[in-house]
Amino acid sequence: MEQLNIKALEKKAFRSFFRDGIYDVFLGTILLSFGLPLILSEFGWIHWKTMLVPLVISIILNVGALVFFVFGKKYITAPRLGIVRFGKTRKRKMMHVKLLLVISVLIGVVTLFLTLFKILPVGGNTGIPAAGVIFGIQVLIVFGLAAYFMDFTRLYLYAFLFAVSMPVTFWLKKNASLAYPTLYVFCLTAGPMLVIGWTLFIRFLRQYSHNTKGED
Amino acid sequence: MSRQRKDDTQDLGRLLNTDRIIHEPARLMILAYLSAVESADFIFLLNQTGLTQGNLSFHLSKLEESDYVAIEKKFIGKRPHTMLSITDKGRKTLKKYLKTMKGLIDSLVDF
Repeated sequence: MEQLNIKALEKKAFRSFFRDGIYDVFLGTILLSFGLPLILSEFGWIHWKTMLVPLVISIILNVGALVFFVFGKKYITAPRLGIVRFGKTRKRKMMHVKLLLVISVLIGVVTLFLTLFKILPVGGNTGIPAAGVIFGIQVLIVFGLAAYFMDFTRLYLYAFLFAVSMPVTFWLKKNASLAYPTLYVFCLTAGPMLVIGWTLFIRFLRQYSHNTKGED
Repeated sequence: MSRQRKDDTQDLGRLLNTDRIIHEPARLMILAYLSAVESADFIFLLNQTGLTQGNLSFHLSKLEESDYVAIEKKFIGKRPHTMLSITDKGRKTLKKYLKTMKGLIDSLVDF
């Protein structure tokens, strides 16, 4: 019983660092970086023939998300929530998460090459490329396990949203007569993450003002 | 005095021997949080426990005096930064305290 309570305290302490919404904004922006170039091309604002523009947009969003994450955690969250070094069990869990992310990136790279060399089918009756299905399944597994190891409940929802984004976009493009299918899909997937993230972030800033709680 | 009554008195007598440093709720809370992590800073404990700065400082000094908590003070830039961790003695005392209290509570359940 005493062990259980200490475990619950550790879990509560670790989860308190998800209250800032920074993870949510980071993941939402990464997902948006996949979709925004497709959305802009649907509007006819950029053409896929000139790959440079979508690539630059994607890189800007990814770098922006990473900068916000690193600097946000260091200069916004840490001064307000404090600094903690967690125990061995938590460190081992976080190592599992890092390992999962490395595996996920490797699968992504292999899938990309297999698609570029036309080893994987690019469409079919459903219009969903094999790469899209592989992306969906591996994101669901990797993010699901990461959510479990990190005790990060919202990540289960984000795993689902990430996983469905690409396959549903391709399916709608082929089978539905919608004007802007990519726009709708990414509004419904990246949108909730960004809305939840920014709401939590603003609430966090209001709740914890930097200089009211400091060391004497 | 019957044997049963003598045993009960001895059990409850353990309450008088409880470590008074750890028995105080705020200090117990601080030790519980520190036992859950490797180390944490002052601001983290301030947020998690909900104590005021003065209160937290006072209780930490008491725990440090008893060698239950190790306090490492340093400066990050011009700002003071305090890292805190539970000592082996503190961890042992906490475990012993929880075991004693659990035993006592269990023996008082059927009143």
